[in-house]
Amino acid sequence: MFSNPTIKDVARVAGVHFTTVSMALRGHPSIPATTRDRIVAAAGRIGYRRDAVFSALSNRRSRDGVTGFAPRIAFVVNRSPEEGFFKRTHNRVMVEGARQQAESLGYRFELLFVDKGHHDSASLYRYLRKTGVTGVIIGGFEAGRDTLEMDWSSFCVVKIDSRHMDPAVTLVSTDQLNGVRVAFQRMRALGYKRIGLAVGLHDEEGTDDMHVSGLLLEQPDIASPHWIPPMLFPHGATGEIATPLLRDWIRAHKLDAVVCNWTNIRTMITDGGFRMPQQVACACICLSRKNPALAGIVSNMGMVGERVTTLLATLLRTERRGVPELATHTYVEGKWYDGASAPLRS
Amino acid sequence: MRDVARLAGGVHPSTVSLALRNHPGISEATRKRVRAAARTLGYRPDPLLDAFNTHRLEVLPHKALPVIAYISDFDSRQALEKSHAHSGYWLGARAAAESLHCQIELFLLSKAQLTPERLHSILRARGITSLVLGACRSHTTRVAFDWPDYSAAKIESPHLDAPIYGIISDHRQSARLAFRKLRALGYRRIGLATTPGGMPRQDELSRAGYLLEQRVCAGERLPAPLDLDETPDAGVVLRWIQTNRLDAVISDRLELREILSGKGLRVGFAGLDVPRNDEQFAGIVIDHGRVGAQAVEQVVSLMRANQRGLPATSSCTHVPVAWQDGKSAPAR
Repeated sequence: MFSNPTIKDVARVAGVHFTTVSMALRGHPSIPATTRDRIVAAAGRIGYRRDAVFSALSNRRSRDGVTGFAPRIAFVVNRSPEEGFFKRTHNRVMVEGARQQAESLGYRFELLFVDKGHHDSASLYRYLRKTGVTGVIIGGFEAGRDTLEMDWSSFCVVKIDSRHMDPAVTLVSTDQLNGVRVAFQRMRALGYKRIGLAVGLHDEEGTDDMHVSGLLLEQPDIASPHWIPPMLFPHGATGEIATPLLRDWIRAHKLDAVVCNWTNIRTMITDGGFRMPQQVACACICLSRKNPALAGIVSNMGMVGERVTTLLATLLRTERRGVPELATHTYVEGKWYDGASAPLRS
Repeated sequence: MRDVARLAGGVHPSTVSLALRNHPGISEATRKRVRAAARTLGYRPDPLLDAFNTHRLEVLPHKALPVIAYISDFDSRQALEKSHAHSGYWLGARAAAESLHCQIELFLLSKAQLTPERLHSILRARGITSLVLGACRSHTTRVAFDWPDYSAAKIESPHLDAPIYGIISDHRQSARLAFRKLRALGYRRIGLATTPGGMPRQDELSRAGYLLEQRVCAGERLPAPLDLDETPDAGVVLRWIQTNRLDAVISDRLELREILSGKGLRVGFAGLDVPRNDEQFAGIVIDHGRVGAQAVEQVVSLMRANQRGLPATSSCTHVPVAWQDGKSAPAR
């Protein structure tokens, strides 16, 4: 009947003035409840919906655009400041990258915590609905801590890492596959011959096997007797558990270098009884900043934050809410820096 | 904007608009000055007006929509349309541009007709600053642009080493999914035969996916992936299958299926890019349209944020793929 019903169509059907419709739909107290219900029913019948864009715009105009209304993006993490969220460089860089991009696109940016003494899923949901946040970034939720369970259908949502949990939405993470490849190539160029890959099984599963994929491209010949299998530290392994495993693996395969995603790799090698870097050199593929003592890949967490915000802005612009059937994954490359843990071999 | 213009030393308001959008026609010095003035005054872009404009454009057809250049290295539009992959990218890109209220125009880059230099001057003259590199093939090795002038994204083409945003389909996942589906259909000795000469980096990713799955059934000692030439040698393929007692083959070359069935071999076949809804072929269905659309969305985002030039590090979006059952791989 009405291809694109307006407030005037509702007014005609309900037999009232169109300003009455406007007031009724905004729940203005001067309109009696019976009239309001009649108007709401009429609007529902002909399929009239308030246009969020127009109403937001007129709302802003009526305030004469002093500071203006800005749509909001929430960046949610599951470690509170009390639990040391800001102590980790990569967290700070990630949030800053997202914040800058959000602000340069004109969104209001808000950092929210899901943790003890802060939000849980239910209170977060209420808060987002109440404050009118429509864009949500799940910012690198750590496994073994709080997760999120809520109805995502009214939000545009993206995430950084956090593969261990729902929702399965557009995801951005660092490029571990390429990181492993670049590390192997650089270590070979520095003169190392027997290079092994050591990563936590937890990290390997959490990245959909990206580390081992990189390894298989650098050492494709699995059938060869010279092939060096990766060392996958078991779930929940601490330095004490991992060090002897690492030591035996280095000995069994006569390694001269280890590529690892743990930042304490140097200590683990020396604790295993090797001279580092003379006997066994090493590189870390998950550095949060350049470190002259430790060679490796510095992750570009700032770019991860920026990319995830850009992707969210696209979803917001095209009104794509909820969880897609199949989500895209975006990988951001890091950058290699030489360091004392892997000197040039003569 | 007028306030910004005054503070920036009395430039015209339209200069402010251009400068804030990083238009290459405005000198870097002026752009800096205008940006500084805008910051001082607290002027910032308004996503609400942006959304409002998008909305308005839905109602009123607009005369001067921003134009995105879609660059392809085919010699003719017909040739492009004949390739189901490339026509898919292009159609997806076009649909996405339309829904985001941009125009998109196809430019065919070829040695004879249009060199990158010539194209650059055309784009410059027309004020086009956003481009999608549409899956350049391996023979196109050089795309020389003044990158700082453009918001750009590329489809596939990892061999073009400019670190612009890339969009590819998830080739690693393709090989993994094909392997798992064949296992579920009862195949045990599964081989991978691909063409590294065609798209080397793409090929590597499917290889990584295959090798990952191989590790799961390490006891079966499956062979290393077979490298195919541009025209696959039937003899080599058959020997590889027989020596390794393969019961299924995953390949990017659909013609292998003909070769296999022509020799009366009962070997399952899964293609890595099979035509959708073609019941003959089991294998991976690539959503080329979504890849093309994703590239356009990326470029539009860059345009809206006025981000041009090469990013500090490259990043790449992997678009998911799907599996389709077919006669080439019946359940065992």
